[in-house]
Amino acid sequence: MTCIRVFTATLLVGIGVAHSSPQTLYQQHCAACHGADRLGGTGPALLPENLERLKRPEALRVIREGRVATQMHGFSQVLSAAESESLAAWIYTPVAPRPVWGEREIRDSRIVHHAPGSLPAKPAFAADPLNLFVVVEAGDHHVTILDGDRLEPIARFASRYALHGGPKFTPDGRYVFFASRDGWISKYDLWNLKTVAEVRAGINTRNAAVSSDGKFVAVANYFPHTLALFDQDLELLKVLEVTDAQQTKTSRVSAVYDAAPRRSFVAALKDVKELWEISYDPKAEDIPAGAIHDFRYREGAFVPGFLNPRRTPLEDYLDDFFFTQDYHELIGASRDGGKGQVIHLDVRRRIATLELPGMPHLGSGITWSRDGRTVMATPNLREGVLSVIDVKDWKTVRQVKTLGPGFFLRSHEKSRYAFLDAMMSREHRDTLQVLDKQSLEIVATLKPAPGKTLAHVEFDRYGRYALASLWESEGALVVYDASTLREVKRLPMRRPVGKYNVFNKISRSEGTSH
Amino acid sequence: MNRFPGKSSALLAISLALAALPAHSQQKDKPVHPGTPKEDLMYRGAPVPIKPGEAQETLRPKAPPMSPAEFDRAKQIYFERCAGCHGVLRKGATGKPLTPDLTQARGSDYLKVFINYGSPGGMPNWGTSGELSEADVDIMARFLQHEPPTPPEFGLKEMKASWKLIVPPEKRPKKKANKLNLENLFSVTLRDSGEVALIDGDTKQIVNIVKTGYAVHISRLSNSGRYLYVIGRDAKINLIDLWMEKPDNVAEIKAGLEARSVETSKYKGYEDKYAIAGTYWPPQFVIMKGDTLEPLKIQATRGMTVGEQEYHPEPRVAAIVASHNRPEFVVNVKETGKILMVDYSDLANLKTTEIAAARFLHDGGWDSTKRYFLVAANQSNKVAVVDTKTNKLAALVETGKIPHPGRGANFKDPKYGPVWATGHLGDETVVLIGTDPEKNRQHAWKVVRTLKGQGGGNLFVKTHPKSSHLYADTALNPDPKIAQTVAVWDIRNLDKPATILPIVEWSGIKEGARRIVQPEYNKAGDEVWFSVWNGKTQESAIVIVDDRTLKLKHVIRDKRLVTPTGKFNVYNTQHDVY
Repeated sequence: MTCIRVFTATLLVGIGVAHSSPQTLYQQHCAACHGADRLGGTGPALLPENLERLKRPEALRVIREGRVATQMHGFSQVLSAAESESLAAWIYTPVAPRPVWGEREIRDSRIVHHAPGSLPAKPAFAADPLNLFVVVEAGDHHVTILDGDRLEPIARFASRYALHGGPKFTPDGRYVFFASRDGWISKYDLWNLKTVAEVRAGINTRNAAVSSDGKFVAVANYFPHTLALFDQDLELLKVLEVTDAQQTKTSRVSAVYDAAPRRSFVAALKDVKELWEISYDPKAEDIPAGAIHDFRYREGAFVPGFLNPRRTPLEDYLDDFFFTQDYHELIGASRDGGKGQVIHLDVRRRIATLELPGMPHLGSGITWSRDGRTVMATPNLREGVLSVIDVKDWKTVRQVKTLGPGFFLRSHEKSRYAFLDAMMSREHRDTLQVLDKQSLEIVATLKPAPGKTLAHVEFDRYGRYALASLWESEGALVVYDASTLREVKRLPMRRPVGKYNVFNKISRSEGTSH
Repeated sequence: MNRFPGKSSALLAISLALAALPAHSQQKDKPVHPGTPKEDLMYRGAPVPIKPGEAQETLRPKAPPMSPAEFDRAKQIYFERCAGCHGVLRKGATGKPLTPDLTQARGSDYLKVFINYGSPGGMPNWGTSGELSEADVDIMARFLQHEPPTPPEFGLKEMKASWKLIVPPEKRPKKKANKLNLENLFSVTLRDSGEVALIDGDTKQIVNIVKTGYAVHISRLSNSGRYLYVIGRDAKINLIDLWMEKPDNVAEIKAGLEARSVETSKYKGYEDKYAIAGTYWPPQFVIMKGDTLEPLKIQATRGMTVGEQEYHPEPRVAAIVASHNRPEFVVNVKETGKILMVDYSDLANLKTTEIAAARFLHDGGWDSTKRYFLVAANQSNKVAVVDTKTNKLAALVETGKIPHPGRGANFKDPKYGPVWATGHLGDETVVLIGTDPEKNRQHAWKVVRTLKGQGGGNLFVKTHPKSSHLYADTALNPDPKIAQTVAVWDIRNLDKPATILPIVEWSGIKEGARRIVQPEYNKAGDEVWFSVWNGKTQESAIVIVDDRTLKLKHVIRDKRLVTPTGKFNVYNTQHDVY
């Protein structure tokens, strides 16, 4: 019996080698950079969750030809076509058993490049540290730091692979936190132009939020289904397992945001009809868990309010939303479209429903004052329309017809204009439209490079310049004079997917999302 | 500080005229405000009949200004709509406390949003439902930032005014007029619908749904088992005659504005003669005629606390039990920490023995001999033991955090002899206290054993003389897996960990919080009934477990079972079997 078994085993190994199974090929050619467990290393994680946005033929092309400006070289000389194909198919299959990324893994992943307090507490350059732009270049996974007065880069460095969600700043504007799709959170010192600490908060991450006091960082994960909370030095504080109140179902976290006036993080959940608010105020009121027999004698179950979720039960999923400027309310779009729900964060229920045609991109909504009233406007991912809504009575003021579905809408307190793109449309993705915020008329169109996607505007701190992205691998930032709408400068960049002005972000300018 | 005593007779007369109308029309179940479910009105907004001019009020300087007329209006609304949950003194109950220190920090806008829209915690949407006008919401938001006005007293006159003798004794059946096995009948509190369900324990059929006060706290039986007394949190007492063809109300009364306890005389010669109710507000108790609820004697509980011996203006009455050893009621007073042994043999010359125990007395029950009464002082984490033979405090026993015994559970520990058990709101333990000073002196009034349960949030433990099981719910535990299951120990082998029963799973109900609350035995002691307590608009159930096999025996699912909580088996309640 024993002999036969040994023989069989040898035979199996023999077959494996002959046919070069994807597992074997992976360990031989890929594991060094992408990790033996496919969780990533110097290269990105190769898991179905993390590859959601990469089409399979594209994955095969990358295996064959490599990726320019990265360490990923082509394997067409090494692997047969069949082998490449089997590898490409295999990386879209789940890893079994499911990888674990808990408290221990997170703590073990932490890297401190510069200990807190070891770098000088003043800027190492002459530029205004509050008028810097952080530009995320997705083309080659780099970040450029731009002087917002001289419009010149002062630093450029390699980021973690595929930054996801906007970078978030500490209130003094000194530090910025980046989240990568593979879960890496990097803390960068803008005054010293150095990455000071990093931690891997998850395996597949959506975004991070930094508390208004700069002391807490929250990370929204898709995989595992957790929300991770860190202190300002990226030391793990706790991992919240994300489930519904009855613990019958876990959920991915779509996004987490800072709600500064509330001293809390607000998290949107993908798979559970709840909204979470997590206070970072150590004096936060206890959360009554379920029925309370007697508040006066504290007969009932209470959970400390600090760093624990307070749940708002929802009638519909809510994974994209917009906060009112005072953060008492938020507007979310229902997933089927057509309707928006206004949720009051104190009473924790829906207080109004509003008409929102198509699929509004509420995360990109902005507000301004018009005729003494505050209006909110949101671009639309599916239709060529911009919805302008009065936030007092939640009535639609106007549906402004645009060139096509867009993604971003940006303005500034000092500017009479708002800029919207049509990047979701085929014909007009190369054009920005300029809206007059008072008349609600389109007053100009900008098309600096026909055929090339133009999107994502950010103003400098004074509202003088509006910087738009030519969203191409050999792209650029196009700088406009915000009042004359004339191009003043063009800075070459590799697919600059986002740019973020320090001052506008830390002052929570009404013209930009946060 | 400004004071508006409201004693001017002209003002008082006007207020009375204005106030009397809505309070009355509402009690007659007339839909005062369109669109509000009746049960909402009954439960959430149980009206407290206070005429605005009657309450003492104090305006607070830092609070937004109010005119006396607005203050009057606010008071009326508060006592009609809000006091039921937030307490007549606004110190909080099932609703949050609303004292000026808290409300001023929140401000008018914040308060208005809550009053307008309500909250998922249970606060109704008074504004958007149209029940309160925008002006009223604004008045309420300001009112809540002022000192709470002192609610009025509730004396014999007010009680008599609320008293209704629906069927006088001479018109009631002379003998049992139904075929029910009354000893195995269950009175089940339907918390949020303001009703009790009478369920036949043999057939598991609902015999009748009887209208009562809201959020019925307990049911008690007369000594004979004929009369059922039910008291709501709004201090309304209903007397139900179980001899009627279809058992129903025969009398009702309001004993005050807020209450928790009712009991009946049980001593030989006084069977079925008296009933007693204790109130949270006013701080007092009333002794009534047993078969009519006619109020006879009201006694205040205001007085000095134990320990510091400071005056307390509102010591609330918690549990009351009837002594089997003397013609006495054992009245537990929360804030003073005193146990009053009230001798009902001579109401005209009332004698009371006052036993100093510990502060914040709550609930409790008898030991197996019914000589000793054990009551939790839940804020001081103690159980007080009263010897009702000598009328002396026998012991103060340290327990876990916030003991909540219900009536406790008596059984024989194989090692320590007779014990009484309590669980805790504040921790996962169930402690067993030795109760036999005669034969097990070394264990008497000591925690002899600590069982580790599933978690905190326990409301009730239960066993039965014929059972070898001890059950503990964890109804208020924040973890749904724990709140939806119960722990059961084999009392012959207490070293063995508890078995966990998946009651919710057995109920078949898929949605909602589905908290499992209060085990209750049938008369025979071979079945245990559990409430699957869900939200008011969701389906609830009663799950019946076979006590021998710990297997599911029956599930009662009926749309009339709205928020069932406490269940009271007639025989076990009548005879203090627990």
